[in-house]
Amino acid sequence: MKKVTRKISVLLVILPLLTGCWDQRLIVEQEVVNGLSFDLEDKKIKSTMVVLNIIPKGTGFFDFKNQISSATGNSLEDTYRELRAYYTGPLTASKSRIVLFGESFAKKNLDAYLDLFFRLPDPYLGSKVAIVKGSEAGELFTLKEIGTNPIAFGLYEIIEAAESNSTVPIGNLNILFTYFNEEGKDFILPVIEKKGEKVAVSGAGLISDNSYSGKMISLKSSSLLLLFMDKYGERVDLETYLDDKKKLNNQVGYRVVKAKRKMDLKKDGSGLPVVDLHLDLKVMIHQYPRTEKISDQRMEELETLISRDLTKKSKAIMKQTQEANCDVLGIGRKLKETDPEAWKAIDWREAYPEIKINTKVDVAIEKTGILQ
Amino acid sequence: MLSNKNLFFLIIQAQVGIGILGLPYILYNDVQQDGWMSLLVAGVLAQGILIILVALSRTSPKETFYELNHRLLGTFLGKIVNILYILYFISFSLLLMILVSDVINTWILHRTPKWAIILLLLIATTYIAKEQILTISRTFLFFSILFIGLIILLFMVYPQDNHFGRMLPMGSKDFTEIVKASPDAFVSLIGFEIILFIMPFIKNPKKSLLVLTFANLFTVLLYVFLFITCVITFSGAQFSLIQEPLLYLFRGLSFHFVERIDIIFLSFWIVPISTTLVVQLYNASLGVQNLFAIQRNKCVYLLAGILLGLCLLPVSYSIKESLSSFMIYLNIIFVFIFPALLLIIAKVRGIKA
Repeated sequence: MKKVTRKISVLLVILPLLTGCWDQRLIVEQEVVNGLSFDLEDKKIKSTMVVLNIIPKGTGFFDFKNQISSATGNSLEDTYRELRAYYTGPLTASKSRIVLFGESFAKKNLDAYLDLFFRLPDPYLGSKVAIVKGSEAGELFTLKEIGTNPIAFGLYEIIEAAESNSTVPIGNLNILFTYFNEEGKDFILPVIEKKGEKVAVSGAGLISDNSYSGKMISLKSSSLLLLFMDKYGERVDLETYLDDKKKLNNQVGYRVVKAKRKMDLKKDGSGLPVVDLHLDLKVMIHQYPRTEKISDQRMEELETLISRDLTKKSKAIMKQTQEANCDVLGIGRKLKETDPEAWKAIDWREAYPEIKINTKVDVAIEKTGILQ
Repeated sequence: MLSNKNLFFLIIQAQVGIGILGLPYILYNDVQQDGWMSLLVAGVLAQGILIILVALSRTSPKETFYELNHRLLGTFLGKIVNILYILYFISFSLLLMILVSDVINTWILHRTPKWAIILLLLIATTYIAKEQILTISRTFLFFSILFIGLIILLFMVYPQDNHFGRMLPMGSKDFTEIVKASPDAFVSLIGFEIILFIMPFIKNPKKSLLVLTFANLFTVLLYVFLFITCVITFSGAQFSLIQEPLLYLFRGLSFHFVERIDIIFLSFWIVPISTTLVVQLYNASLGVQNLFAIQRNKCVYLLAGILLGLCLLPVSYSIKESLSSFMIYLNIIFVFIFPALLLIIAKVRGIKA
């Protein structure tokens, strides 16, 4: 009898502890934020958020509705307070898919504004991040869907596709947090644009010192930049004109099978580094203007042609990054790691646009598809 | 009787606990990317202490540390020392529980009161700690499967966006600075002092030093691996901000069907944390048993009650910082200096006899 009472009393003590009643957060009561965007409006921040409401319509069928609201204020917390008032339940950013910045907002120092994402344990850091060009970032959410996906998911997938097509390196809030605080290395963010009722990635925006420089690398060149960054995605497709005349159907298209990048730092007379970039590519031709046999001699010609073309293009890209003062290759970081004394002696923000960057691309054709 | 396998897992479970969450952060703020050297220095230090502890407990393998104290220092002095040791284990457990409840409070359960977390933790640990040492060690052996999980997860960080160059420049700090940072790493290696109390229960005492060495090596290598993973993943200024780098490391991980690995990981990692607590409770309860001659499981209940009471005091949380910096010195006194003195006394007496 005594044993039984003891057991029961122990159970009575333990049972209330098992319910977890303090921290239960029911998903039905939550308003799950799917997308967030920040714009600058009259020197104030305008936050827009989209909450996805799923409306069940009988078995297996459901419709969805985006609930969009925006608020302005001096800080993110300011706008958040106002935004909360629009929704029935507590807001949670633990499932947000996408964070968009308006162009003017992106030109502010982003790291200071985004602090709350990193400081709190709840927000989801896998969200994709992008800069919106041409329109207000919040305006993108007014599109109901992309393809069959709700807008926030659609934007996520568009950026994911851009990553595997090597337009931009893989990025999310978490990676952003790392690069915000990295000395001697800048990063690039996808730039998206609203075109009519559709949205497309239009290039890679160069970020300088944690704020958008306003310049971007176009869709055509960004893959080459990614090869030089050693951060390319699943596919890298490039093309080169067969001769200088840019006439119709005169391009050879090729896919990079293997890429090897080498970065060497030397010093010039004034103590500034001189950078030698070397890229070794193995490619597979996947498009040739004529369906004919490519002879060995022609192959060699093509290799030199492509090498020269890519070398030229890469020089232009490096020039662009220097104009934007965006050390996306992490040359400064490399200098810091290999030669800390020299790194301390120079102000990298001022030095980077001035340094000499030599690029060289060597291309070897490995395959020509299933046709010879 | 404890086999070598049991002993090995008992020691690593006693060593690895809450410290692993914050260790890379502390080391990085001390000596930046050279922190792994401090870890190795701390490992060598721990190895030296291990040799002393084993030598001490081998002087009379049939006695626990508390009985040894009585014999070597006389009844009065021995009793005082034993009480001090019990107080040391209690304050160690107290600090541990404060840190655990803090981490859980900030990362997972924001609104759950701390006393509830601590009560749950204490119920679980007392349940294990009241058992015989063999049962405890077998439980630990089972729990050790979590280490495999940790190592796999750490490897999963590697395909992410990281940069090995962050380890460079290597050896940029002075050797004295590296040595100075090693006590911070040493705190996370504490736990092997349990050997003082379990020597009578070991099947193969002669091999014990070897087993302990391997356990220590495992822990140090695990820490070094973790530290290197953190360094190559986080950028400099970021690393100096993140208080629990291990959790933040997993916060960035995401798979197709599983997200927020950090929270899942922490929920499981409470187990290795509580094993450290079990070891402390076990050590303390042996002391109480020696002092008052009551059954050991009752001593465990008594200690758990005292700990719960201490945690309920509102001051407990405000002294967190001072207690943890104080603990660094206490560890060295109680785990290193005092046993070393005792070993000298034992040797001198041995020669006399």
